[in-house]
Amino acid sequence: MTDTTAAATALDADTAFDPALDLVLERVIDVPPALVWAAWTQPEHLVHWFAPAPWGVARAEIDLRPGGIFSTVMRSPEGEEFPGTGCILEVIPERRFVWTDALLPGYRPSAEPFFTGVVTIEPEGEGTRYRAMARHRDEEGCNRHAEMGFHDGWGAALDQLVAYAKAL
Amino acid sequence: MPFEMALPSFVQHLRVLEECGLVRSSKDGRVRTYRLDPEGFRGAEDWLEGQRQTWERRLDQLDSYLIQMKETRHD
Repeated sequence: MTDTTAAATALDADTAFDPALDLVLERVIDVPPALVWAAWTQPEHLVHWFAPAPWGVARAEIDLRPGGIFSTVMRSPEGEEFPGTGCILEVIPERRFVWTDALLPGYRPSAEPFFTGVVTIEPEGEGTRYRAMARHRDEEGCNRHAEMGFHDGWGAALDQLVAYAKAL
Repeated sequence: MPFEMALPSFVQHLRVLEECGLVRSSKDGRVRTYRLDPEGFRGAEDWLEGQRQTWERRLDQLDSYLIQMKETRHD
């Protein structure tokens, strides 16, 4: 067992899944691990898919080393921009990528810690099995994060509709 | 006019809500009627479910993009 595999196994054991706060999504795709790794870790690729449509990524910055910056600026359909900056925690090329918004680049604690992302990649036949885990802080943090998403126009419209639907 | 928002903006917002599965619409002649989709709203009320939908959509986009990357490199 190599050192990186040992580290990866240790992290698997550490990251016990909390169904109330965490999400795990797993996909198998007929694309080599090197491309999956590039799509997750290079800004020029990340901007093409990281924001769920109709949102977009205006800019991204990734300094691929522990302590390095992971930053994205999301753009709403109305053109409003929402920057988010985090810190990279772990980089095992084509195997594991971990980052969090609980820290700023250089491991400085951030004001609103909320999220850690863990991406694991492994070859499967000619293709790749990859897993994205999103770990969140707590319900209170979750709710506040949800409210942040409602600043733009259609979010406000959605709030009104939810209130309306609840009153039915 | 019952709303402050202009009709084209309203239609744009409704289209986004429809993409998110919160409303459904049907067209009868010149009239398009929007109805709330209760399934979608159960999802919207559950915070984590909302996050899951975001991630599913994000990874759908990633997979399409990866296929594109692979084809470009092989050409």
